[in-house]
Amino acid sequence: MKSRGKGKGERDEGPAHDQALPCVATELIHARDPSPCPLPPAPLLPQSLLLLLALLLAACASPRIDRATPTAPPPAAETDEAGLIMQMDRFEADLKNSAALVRDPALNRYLAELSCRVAGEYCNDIRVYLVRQPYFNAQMAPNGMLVVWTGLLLRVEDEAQLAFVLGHEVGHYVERHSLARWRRLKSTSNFALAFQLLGGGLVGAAASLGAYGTLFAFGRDQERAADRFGLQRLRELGYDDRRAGQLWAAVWEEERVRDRELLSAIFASHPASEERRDELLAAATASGTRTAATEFWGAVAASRDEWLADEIARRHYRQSELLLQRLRALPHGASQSLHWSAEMYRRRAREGDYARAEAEYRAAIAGGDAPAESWRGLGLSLRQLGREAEARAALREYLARAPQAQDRALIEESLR
Amino acid sequence: MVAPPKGGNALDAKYAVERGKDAKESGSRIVRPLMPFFASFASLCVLCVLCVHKKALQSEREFRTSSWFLPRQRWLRQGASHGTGRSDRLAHSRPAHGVHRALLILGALLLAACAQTRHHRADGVVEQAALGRGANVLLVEPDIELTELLGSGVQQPRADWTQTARGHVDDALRAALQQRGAGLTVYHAPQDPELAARQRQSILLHQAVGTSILLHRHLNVPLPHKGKAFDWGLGPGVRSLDRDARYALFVFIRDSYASSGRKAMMAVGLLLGIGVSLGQQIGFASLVDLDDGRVVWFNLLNAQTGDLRDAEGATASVAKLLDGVPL
Repeated sequence: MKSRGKGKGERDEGPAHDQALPCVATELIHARDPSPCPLPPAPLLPQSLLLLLALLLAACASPRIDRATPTAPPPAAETDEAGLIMQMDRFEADLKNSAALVRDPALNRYLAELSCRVAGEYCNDIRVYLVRQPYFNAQMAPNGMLVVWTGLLLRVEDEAQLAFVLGHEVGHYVERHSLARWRRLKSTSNFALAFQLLGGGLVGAAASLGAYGTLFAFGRDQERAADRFGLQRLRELGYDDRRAGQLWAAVWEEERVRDRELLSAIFASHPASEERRDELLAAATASGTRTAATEFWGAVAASRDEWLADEIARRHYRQSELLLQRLRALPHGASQSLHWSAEMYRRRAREGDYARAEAEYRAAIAGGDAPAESWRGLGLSLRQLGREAEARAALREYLARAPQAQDRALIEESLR
Repeated sequence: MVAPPKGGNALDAKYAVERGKDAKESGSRIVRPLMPFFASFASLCVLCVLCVHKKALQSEREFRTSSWFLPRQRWLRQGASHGTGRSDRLAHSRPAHGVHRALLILGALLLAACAQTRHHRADGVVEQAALGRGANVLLVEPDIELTELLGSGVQQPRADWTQTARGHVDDALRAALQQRGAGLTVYHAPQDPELAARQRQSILLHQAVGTSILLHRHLNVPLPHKGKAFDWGLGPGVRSLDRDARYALFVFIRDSYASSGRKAMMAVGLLLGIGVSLGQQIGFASLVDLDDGRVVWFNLLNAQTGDLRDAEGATASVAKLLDGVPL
C-alpha cells in the first residue's frame, strides 16, 4: 500500500544537514552501486557510530524478491506474504460493501477492461475498485486489489495518462513491492531496537530516525521502479508516453501551492512530483501517439459533476482553482469547468469572488450547455453584489429551467 | 491507547513547522541553514518521548490487568486522577533498582500466568439472570486474527494460524452454545448483494461499537457524559441480520505469540529490568438483542496465556470469553 508523497519541502535549505539521512540511505540501498555520497559532518552522531549504523543496516538488508508469477496459486499459508494477503483480503471484503465504493457498472467495466489491457498477462490477478475520494491517489495491495480514487480520474486528461497510473500500480504488484517493504520494515525495526538497547537515549533515537529514513527512501526507489514499469507498458500498448510526465507536471503545479511539511523530504514515501515529472519526461520516447482522450471522456463524463462537487467541497481552493483552469483548456470539459469554478468562487466568498463568480457563470451560460444551477449561482452571486433586480431574474430563470428543483420552496420564498 | 503518542507527534511536528516558519520570516542567516537540524532535533526528542511513553503505557497496562501489586495500582490511579499521570508514568517506566527490579521480574513472571475477563450487562439485565436460556442465537462469523510477535515488537500476521484458530474457535463456540441449550443459527452472507452489503454494515457497526466499549469501558478513556451506564446499542437495523433469531453473538479476537527472537528479547529484557511482553490475547464477545439492537452483555478477554492454535486452548479461551453470558 502506499500514500502519496508530500513533495520535497526544504530542498534548498541547509544542504549539509538536510541531506545527511537520505544520503546514508541511498548509499546503503545501492550497496552494489556505491554513489559518491560522502558521509556528512554529523552534528549528533560520532563518525564511528554512523559507520556501525551503516554496517548493521547493510547486514540486515532483505534479499531480492522475485517478480510475481501470473495467475500463480496463493503463497503457502505459513509465509509472511500469506499473512499480508490475508489482511488485504479482509480489507477487500469490507471495501466491496463500502458506501464509498463507486458502483456505476459502465465506469467499472471501462476501468476493468483498461486495467486488464495494461496488466497483460497479470490481468486475472488484478481487481480494480473505484472509491469516492476527492484526492489524487491509487493504491495496489499484494493480493491484487487495485484501488483508484475519483479525485485521480478527475485530474487525468485521457486514457494514456490513466493507463500510466494503472501500469504504475500493476508494477507494484508484479514486483511484489508490498512484501519487499514489509520485510524491510521488519529488518529496520530490528535494527532500531538493537540500537536503542545498545545506545539508548538520544543516540538510539537518532539512529532509529536514520533507519526509518532509509525505509522511506526504499519506498521512493520502489516508486521509481513502478514508474518505469508503467512507462514500458504505455509504450507497448502504443500510447503516447509523454503524457505520463505531463500528468506529473500538472500534479506538481497543484502540489506546490499546498503548505508543505518540514520533514517531508525524509519521510516522503514517493519521490517529489517535480522530480518525477522531470524523470518521466526525460524517459519518454514519444514512440506512440495514441492518447484515446475520447474514450476516456466517454467513460467519465456522466460522473464528473459529482467529482467536481466533491473537489470544491475539500476547500483547498487554491488547488481547485488551478485544476479548474487546467480542465477549462481541454476540449472536453470547458463549459462544465466554467460552471464549477464559478461555484468555487461563490463558496470561497473572498474579496472580489462574487464578481469573479458572476463572470464565470455568465461565460458558462454563454457556452450554451450550462446546467440550470448556473442561473441559481448567478442569482445568488448577484444578490451578494447588491444587484437584486438582476438576481431575481436569474433565480426565476433557474426555477423555470429546473421545475423539480429540491430547493424550489427556498428560492420561491426568497423571491417574494 | 496508541492515540495519545500519535497526537503528540503530530502536534510536535506542527510546532516544528511553525517554528521553522518563524525563523524563515525573521530572515536570520544563521537560523535558516540550521532549520533542518532544529527539525531533526525536535523529532528526535519526540521519538524519545514516544518510545518512553509507549513503554510506559505498556507497563501501566500490565500492572492494571494483574491482580498483584495492588498498592502500586492504586498509586497509578491516583496519579492519573490528579492530572499528573504522565509524569508519574514516566517516572514509573525507568529501569527499577534493587528490590523494585526483583519485584518487576517477579511481576513479569506472574503476569505470564494471569488471564482476566471482565463482563458487563446492559442496565436492567440482572446479574446471573439467564434471560436468554433456550433462545435462538445467531452466531456471526468470529473476527479472528493471529500474529507472530517478532523480536522488535512488529506483529507479523499469520494466515496459517488464523485459519486454524478460526476453525477451533468456531467449533468451541458451537459446542458451548449447544451445551447451554441455545438454538444455534450460523450467519452466512446472502447472495443478494444489496442485502449482503446492509448486513455487512451491521457487522461493521458492531465492530465500531465493540471497540468503543473496549476503549471507554475498559481502557480508562471514559466518556464523561456516558457515566456508569451500560447502554450501548446498534439500533433496530440489526434485525436485518436474521429474521428469527433472538440474539446475535459477536466475537472478536486478536492474539499474538512470541517468535524465538522475541523470547530472546525477553531474556535480555530480564537482565536489563525491562518488561518484554511475549504476546497477548485480547478479545471481546457481545450478545446483541436483535429486536432492539441493545448490547445486553459484553465480555472482555485479556490474557497473556492461551493458545487458539489447538482445540483445547481454543475451548479454554472460549469458555473465558463466554464468562457470564446470560444464555
